[in-house]
Amino acid sequence: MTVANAPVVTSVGAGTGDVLVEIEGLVVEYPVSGGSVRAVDDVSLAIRRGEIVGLAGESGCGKSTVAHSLLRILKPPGEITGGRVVFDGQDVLALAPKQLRQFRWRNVSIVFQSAMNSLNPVMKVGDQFVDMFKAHGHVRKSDALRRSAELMELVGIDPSRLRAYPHELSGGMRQRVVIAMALALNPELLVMDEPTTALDVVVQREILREIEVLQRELGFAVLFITHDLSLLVEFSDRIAIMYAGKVVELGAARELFDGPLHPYTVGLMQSFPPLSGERLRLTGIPGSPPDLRDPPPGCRFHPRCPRAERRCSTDEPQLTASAHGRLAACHFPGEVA
Amino acid sequence: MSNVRRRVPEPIRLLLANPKSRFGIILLVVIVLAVIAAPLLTSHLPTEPDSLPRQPPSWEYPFGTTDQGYNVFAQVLYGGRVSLGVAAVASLIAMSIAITLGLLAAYSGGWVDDVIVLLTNIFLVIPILPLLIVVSSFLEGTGPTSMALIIGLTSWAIETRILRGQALSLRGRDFILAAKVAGESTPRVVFGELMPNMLSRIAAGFAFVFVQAVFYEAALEFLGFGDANQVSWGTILFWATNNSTLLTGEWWHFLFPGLAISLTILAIVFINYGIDELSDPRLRQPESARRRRWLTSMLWRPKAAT
Amino acid sequence: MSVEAPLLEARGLTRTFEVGTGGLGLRRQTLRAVEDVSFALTPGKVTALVGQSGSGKSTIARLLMRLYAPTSGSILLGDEDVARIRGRRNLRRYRSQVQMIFQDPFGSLNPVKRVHHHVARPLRVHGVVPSSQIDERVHELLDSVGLTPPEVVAAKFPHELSGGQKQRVAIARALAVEPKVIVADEPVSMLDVSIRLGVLNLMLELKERHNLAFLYITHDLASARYVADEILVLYAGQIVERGPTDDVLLEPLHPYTQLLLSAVPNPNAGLQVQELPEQRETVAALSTAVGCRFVDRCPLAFDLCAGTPPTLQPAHFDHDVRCHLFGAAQEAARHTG
Repeated sequence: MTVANAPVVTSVGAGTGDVLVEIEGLVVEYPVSGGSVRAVDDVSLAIRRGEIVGLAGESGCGKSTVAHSLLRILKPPGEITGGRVVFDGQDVLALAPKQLRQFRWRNVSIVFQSAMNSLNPVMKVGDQFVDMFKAHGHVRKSDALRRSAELMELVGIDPSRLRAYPHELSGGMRQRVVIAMALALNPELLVMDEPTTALDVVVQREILREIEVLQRELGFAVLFITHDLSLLVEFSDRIAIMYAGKVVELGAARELFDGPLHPYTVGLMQSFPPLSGERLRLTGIPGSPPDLRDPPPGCRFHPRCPRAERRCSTDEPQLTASAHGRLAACHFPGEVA
Repeated sequence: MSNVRRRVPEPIRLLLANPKSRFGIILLVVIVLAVIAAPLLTSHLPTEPDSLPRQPPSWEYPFGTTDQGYNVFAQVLYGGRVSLGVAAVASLIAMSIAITLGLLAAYSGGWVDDVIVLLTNIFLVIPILPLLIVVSSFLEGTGPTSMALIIGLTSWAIETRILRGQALSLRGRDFILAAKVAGESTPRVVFGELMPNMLSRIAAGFAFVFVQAVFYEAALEFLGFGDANQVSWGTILFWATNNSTLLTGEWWHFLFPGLAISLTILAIVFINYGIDELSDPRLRQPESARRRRWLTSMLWRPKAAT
Repeated sequence: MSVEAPLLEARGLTRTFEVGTGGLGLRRQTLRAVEDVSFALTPGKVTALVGQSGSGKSTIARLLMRLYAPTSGSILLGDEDVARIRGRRNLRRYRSQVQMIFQDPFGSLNPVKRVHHHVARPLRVHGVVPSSQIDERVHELLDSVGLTPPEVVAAKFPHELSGGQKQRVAIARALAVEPKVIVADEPVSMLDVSIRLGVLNLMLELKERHNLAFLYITHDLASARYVADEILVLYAGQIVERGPTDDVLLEPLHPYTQLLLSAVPNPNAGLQVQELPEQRETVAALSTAVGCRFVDRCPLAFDLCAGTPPTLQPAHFDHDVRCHLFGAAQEAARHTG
């Protein structure tokens, strides 16, 4: 029943802006002996034009799988077995291979965690730009180079570095180059899969700010995936928290930070020690994420949950709007442990 | 480790668990047993022309006889001893050199590495077969021992380069540093920690050099650079061509030794299929767990924690 | 509480590397990866060494472990200078007292060896317990780092464990020889935020139980604050600030420490960060660079900074800083006084 009104529900906190991407009841399964595992289980998420949406959760929660489904770059044998992905009116799951190629860089592009190592080490950066333009049917080399220079400037690198080899650039600069490439064809959505995890805090910080500025200038939407919730709060408009293949909380970043509803969100926020105030021994989230081949009954979080009661081990909570007008999949949302 | 089953050595168990390598092992064992048990399988001797000449295969002469009255079945069986023996010794020599030099070069670096790389490169650019021909033509009446030595001493270069490359990439890994920090001695680090990660490549190298040695041995004998009176698969073929058996229609004279060579190579190739699992424990699991691992690798990114 | 004597002391630790410069290749330069670094580790205390990539922090770890020999300076273990000890026996004896935890739990365990091997080898090599008791001791160690049931974990291969579990194996391995000092090189940076606390808490607990001296190397100030009693901030191979944790973090003196602090995600501040030119720290550490190594990025630099390298000087009690802003003030005070 919640699934039925998911499209309305997932844009809560997003205002009523123009929806760019609509993921609805997405299910991704991986076959295992004697059945299959749902890596993503009934996930609905909408992204508006020009919006930054954060998707956070522990490794294995399915957050990258959601992003990969959106671009249809799931690694086999993973398979989308349910739900819809609608991008600007077109059904992404129904695209033919040729359309998909266009869709991937023109409409949606992606920056991976290891992106800074994804540049070809034996090719100059400029040539890699040219190759990319050519792959997408973009004209003459001189035009491609001119556009590349513009892009480099856009991400704050001196265009003369187009003549450099990747190893001559720092990690942060390489990451910027990859971001520039991702923005080359003016996509409407930029998916960033842990793009700064491998970088130093200072560089990470500068790149995030860079993206924020670019996003304001160019107006693309961002789906930002990370395990580090602290990054998202200041960076994104809305945040979805995933746990064991499901979205467990969804809301405006600020509100979610000020008053997390789901105990898992609370746990994630307590996982980073503070830089000021009293130095206390913290506990984080006890235990580890469940084995998806055999998820716990009821709420998947209940074995690790400080609020769990009997009901939690039998009834699965649905993602519903709470009294606060935000979404959480918890029987006791927002209650203090 | 008390809690790990140790009845059948793990490598053998793993190889037998894989259908392809099981087939290869069975085939190789059959060939080797047949060759060893030659006197039990035939009463003829390979060096005695005691049969009717030019007989096609029959119950009496399973692989037929030559124009001189030699029994091809006996020749293939006894000849296999020489051929397989030469190949085994040659690949042992070549791989011992390759492992020692490859690991030494990668682990010590510096001038040791430079010298080994130079030597390897020299051996790499010399075409082996002509080299073999030159060397063996200097040694008159090349017997099996010198044949094994020659092939062994000339076939190590490619494997040395490959093993060095692999060892180089492993050397910088943290687990090697960790082993040092734990107090392990250098030989122990190299042979106890580094080398087990290269087992698959080493085994593949063995297979490659062995196959090559079987081939070179046959080729040298076939070209007449060996001792033509010594029976081996290569010399059988040498005599078969010498006597123009292809023209006279005595197909059995070259078919069976050729088949023996091919089957041996086939057996090794099939064993090789199972070898990957040896050096990568991720591949070696009971079926259910193997599925799970593969699943895990899809769901969890390898570089982050779960 | 009585002040304990330092267990392990680094004095003027320096390590240089010869590097070729790009292009011509013939010109060689000296990279001062670690220069004149001094600190002392005391039992029951955690010292945090904070720096970004290229700061030389991992080089310090490797110098302390004697994986490299220092170019100059000494490493004192008790009264003995171990900086230049040679021979396997001497090194082994040293490493029975000083152990290390590596950054990457995915790389620091041998993929073809079971967990048992990793913990049993040091026991065997150092003859910590008789052979007959090795299994028992391995299980005890695994149990003490929270890997249960130990018999089951011991028989596993590294790939069968999660990142957090792998790092616990690495900790058990380090503890096996019953060391007095542990050098932990970014032990949690490769782990999910949500499980970092568990590993940090384990380290603290073990430190207290065994009265260990800990060197915690990290790029993350928040986790440094969480575990450390004293903080050393490293920039381009030099300590630029050191002092008790909260003195340094609540009242940072060096502009670099201030920059690092401003880069820590802070939901209350937004992404407002000072714009600073990106620079590879290794460039600042080249022998051709004169003056303060931070000068090119420093918002407060003045004429003195470009030509004269500052020295590490006490600013407050027990709080040292390498910056002309403080040095100059003192200098001036001395002159007028």
